[in-house]
Amino acid sequence: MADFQTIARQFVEFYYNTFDSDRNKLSALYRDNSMLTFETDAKLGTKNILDKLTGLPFNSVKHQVATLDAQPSNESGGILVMVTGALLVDEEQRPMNYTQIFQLLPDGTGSFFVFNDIFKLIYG
Amino acid sequence: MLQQAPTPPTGPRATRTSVRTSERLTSSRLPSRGGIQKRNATPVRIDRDGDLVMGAVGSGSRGSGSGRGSAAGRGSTQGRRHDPLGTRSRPLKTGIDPSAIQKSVLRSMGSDEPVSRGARSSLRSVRGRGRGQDAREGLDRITIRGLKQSKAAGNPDGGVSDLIGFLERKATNPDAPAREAVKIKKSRLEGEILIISVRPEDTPKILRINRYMFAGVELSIQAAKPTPLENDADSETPNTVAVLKGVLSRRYNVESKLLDLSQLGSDPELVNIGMFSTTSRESKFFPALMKICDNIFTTAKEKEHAIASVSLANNALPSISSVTTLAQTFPAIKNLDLSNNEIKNLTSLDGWRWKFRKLDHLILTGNPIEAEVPDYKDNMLKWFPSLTTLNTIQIRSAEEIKAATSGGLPIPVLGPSFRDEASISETFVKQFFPAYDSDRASLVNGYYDAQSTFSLSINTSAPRAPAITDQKMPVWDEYIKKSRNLMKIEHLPARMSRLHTGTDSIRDALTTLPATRHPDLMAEPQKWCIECHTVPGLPDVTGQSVSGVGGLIVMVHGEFSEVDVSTGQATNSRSFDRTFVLGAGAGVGGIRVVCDTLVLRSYGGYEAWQPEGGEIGSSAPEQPQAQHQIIVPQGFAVPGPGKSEEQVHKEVLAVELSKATGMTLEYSGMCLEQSGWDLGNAASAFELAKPTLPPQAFMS
Repeated sequence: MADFQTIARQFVEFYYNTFDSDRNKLSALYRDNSMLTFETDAKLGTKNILDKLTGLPFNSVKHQVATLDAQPSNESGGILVMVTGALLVDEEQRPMNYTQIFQLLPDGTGSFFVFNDIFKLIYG
Repeated sequence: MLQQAPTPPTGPRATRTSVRTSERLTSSRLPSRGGIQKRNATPVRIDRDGDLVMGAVGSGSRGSGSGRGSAAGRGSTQGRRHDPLGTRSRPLKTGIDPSAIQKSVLRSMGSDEPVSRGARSSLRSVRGRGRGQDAREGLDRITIRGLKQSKAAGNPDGGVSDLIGFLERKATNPDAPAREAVKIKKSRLEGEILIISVRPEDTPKILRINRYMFAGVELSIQAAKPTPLENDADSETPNTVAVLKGVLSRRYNVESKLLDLSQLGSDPELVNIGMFSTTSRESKFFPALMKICDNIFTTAKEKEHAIASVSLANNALPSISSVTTLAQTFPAIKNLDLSNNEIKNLTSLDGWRWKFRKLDHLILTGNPIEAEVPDYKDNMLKWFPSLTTLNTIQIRSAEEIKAATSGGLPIPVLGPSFRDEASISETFVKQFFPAYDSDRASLVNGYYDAQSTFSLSINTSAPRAPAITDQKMPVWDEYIKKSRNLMKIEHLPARMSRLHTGTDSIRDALTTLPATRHPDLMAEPQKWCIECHTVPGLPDVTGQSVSGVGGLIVMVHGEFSEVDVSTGQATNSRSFDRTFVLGAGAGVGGIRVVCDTLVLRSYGGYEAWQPEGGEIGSSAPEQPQAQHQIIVPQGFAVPGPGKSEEQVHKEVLAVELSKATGMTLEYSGMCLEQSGWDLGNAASAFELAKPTLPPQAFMS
């Protein structure tokens, strides 16, 4: 298995590419026990999470990742991923800055899913 | 003050000043029509030192203008006039040194030259060599024609630096020692003509390359006729400052906080001093005026308080490029009148895009843009987030403004989500940061163990707080070697070595970082944004639970100052985002830090996480009063044998809902079930059902 850093990097690239192109496809990354905290709004389960993400009030979005860091988070191979970056929404010129924390857990088949996804706008 | 007793210019030029004054003033010409954008056939005329030069070389336009009295005479006239701006008493009161104003005006006047930025910077370096004196040291001026027709004209600076390099190379005797190399001391563009200044001994060398081919054209190089006026051109600046101040004070209404800069082109005083007689003077005029304003109102607050409205109506402006400095000097104005100008399109306004963040009312009537870009209003709405009124018509409501100015824009900013368990993370955060500031080695011993991990990354691209413009660019030297930004660090050994595992490694990492001081969490809660969530499945250090134990994920956003250890003084401010995973362990308070990821970035302030509505008080990290004390049965909401993670999650939610509502876990579970296990929906459902709920739904 690839090291957790590579997994984190690949995951983040995949996640944001998918997010920026078609948010519906993010469903593959969540499970029914996944939890998304978007700002303060907590959602449990793939369906609720997808409803939240696809219901966000913008059409096009572009993430620019500034930093990415990852650490192993538990003994079963979980990975804590911390991302900071900027979000460009629709025609907005001014980027919105955010932090996003993922806890990735192995799904038992050699790949990972998002167990925690905590998004917060932090500055700017 | 200045007008009544002009500060005598210092230095060698002072001796000639008084004689020249009236002669110099005769050079002003009355423009045929108003408009500070009015273009004049007179070639651009700028002294590279930023000196104002009245008479244009060879323009022959000097002579028949209206002569004016001496500076002192004019001053006395103005002295009697009402002066609402208080400009005359101001310099003394605030201790502004008139000569400093003069210098800054000079600087400002030299800084808005009608050449591209590239040319300016390259020219500035040329000018640096002989700065200040060469005009008075008898440098020869030489005119070079042909640049405009050459292929180099398409270069970023119009080919000026290429041409200068060419001239210096060709004029220098290749066999001569380096000290004899021809140097062009100063240069400037006047229309299509490049005028250079060189030492007299270099003049013949430059003239010798007349008719050389440069980038496809034959250059025409001639000695320029010296002009008697230009050497002491500096001396008129105090006078100009006086006139501009007079203009400001006449056009400022202290009652209505209005700075009326309309119809500048027909302002008799400005016309009299020839403010619009040449293109270069026109281009310098407005920045100079703003510079004076900057000197009168020194702080942003003072400016905002003094001037709420600016009118630039009836100025024949084809674009805002000549007045763009208004946005720097008065960024907080609420009303801006641009009516009856010549603004045709959005490009002409682009320089002010995203400026004037508090602009409430914009007037653009009487501009061609109304007809040519019918939907320009949409853009104005986007560009000026506080705009409610365009051309006296309300175009958006205060609520819409609130949404637009709330920083987060399409995504509402909410308060922090703090779901603590038994105040564990509250206690942790309260203890951790003071200890981090005072004694990191003990801190590491207290909270970290052999399996703990710590890493640091630096976000160098995060923006700084808009209000903190005077802070110097942050330097990350002391951090960057430890930065483990996986976007940048590709090499596996580097990645691994920057992940610190175990007490010793973490202690080494933390204690070598600069000393810090975090704001007091209790005293300044608004500077912190702390969130906390429960996470299951953490490794159990005691080995008792195979499926792991419940833990907390704590996200802290805040700021700190670096501290100079020798002086105890705070130095750089920085913002940070730090995520901890806390688990049960042998550390202080029975917890251990499992993971600690720290991101540092430029100081970005703390406005971003103030929830909409600005209720800072209620967003303080600790909200014990809002939470109901509930008794959670042993094993509830934590993973256990035969319990799916989904079940754990649901139990966690039930605990949350109970804490928020005071309902029993059972009722919380039912409520959540009906709300699709969505905490927000469940809380809303509870509010609706609250009056009908039986007493047994609540914990006693």
